Amino acid sequence: MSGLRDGKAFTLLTALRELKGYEEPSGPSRPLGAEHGINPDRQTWLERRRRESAGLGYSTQPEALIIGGGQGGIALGARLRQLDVPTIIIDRHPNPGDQWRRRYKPLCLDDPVWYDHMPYLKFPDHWPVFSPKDKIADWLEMYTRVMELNDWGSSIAQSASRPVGG
Amino acid sequence: MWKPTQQPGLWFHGGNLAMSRHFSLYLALQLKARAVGLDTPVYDLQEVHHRPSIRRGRRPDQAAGES
Repeated sequence: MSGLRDGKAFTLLTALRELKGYEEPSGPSRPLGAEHGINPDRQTWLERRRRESAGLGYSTQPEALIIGGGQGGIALGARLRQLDVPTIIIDRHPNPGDQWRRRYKPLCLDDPVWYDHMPYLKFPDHWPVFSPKDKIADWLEMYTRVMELNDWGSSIAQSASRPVGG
Repeated sequence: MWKPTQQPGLWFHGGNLAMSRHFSLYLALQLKARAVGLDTPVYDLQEVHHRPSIRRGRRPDQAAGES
């Protein structure tokens, strides 16, 4: 707000922060992870993750399809996962980060690295101020994996249509 | 970007790392809201800039007058 004029605001900015009733699990509400007790049918995290990833797009359909898995696509994908919105990210490159690897050799970030964090996971304090492109590429590849994103490499959107009434 | 377009279900998002971090929140929340049936109305939609021929469903590679 840039001061009052005759007791009234000249500029007022509002922004959406979260949806009541659909808050992201974090801090005290984070998942427990470990499951105690005897359950012969218990699935490990890895088994559940593999099943989800294999079924999505086949036996279950995603709510969102993100075309392009650069920093924009995977940042959005990470948020949607925390909001429990099933999502597939497709990209024409084989692996996440390849978009950066294919850029010109001496490329480094234009902005200092402390301005460039991805959602939920900051770059370490020892990272170079203007991080080289292949280092960013590796970070984005790691990020895609640890954020449990369903990314389909070497995939191109050829057409899109909307189901009737959908 | 980051608000509904005239094409239902089609959204645009992008930018550098900082913009991707910042605006992904607003887009993700709007998508979540739609997935669970909450209304998040916006002030106004952008105008359509396609040529009318494309809007009527003609492919961009078809000549004018062809249908």
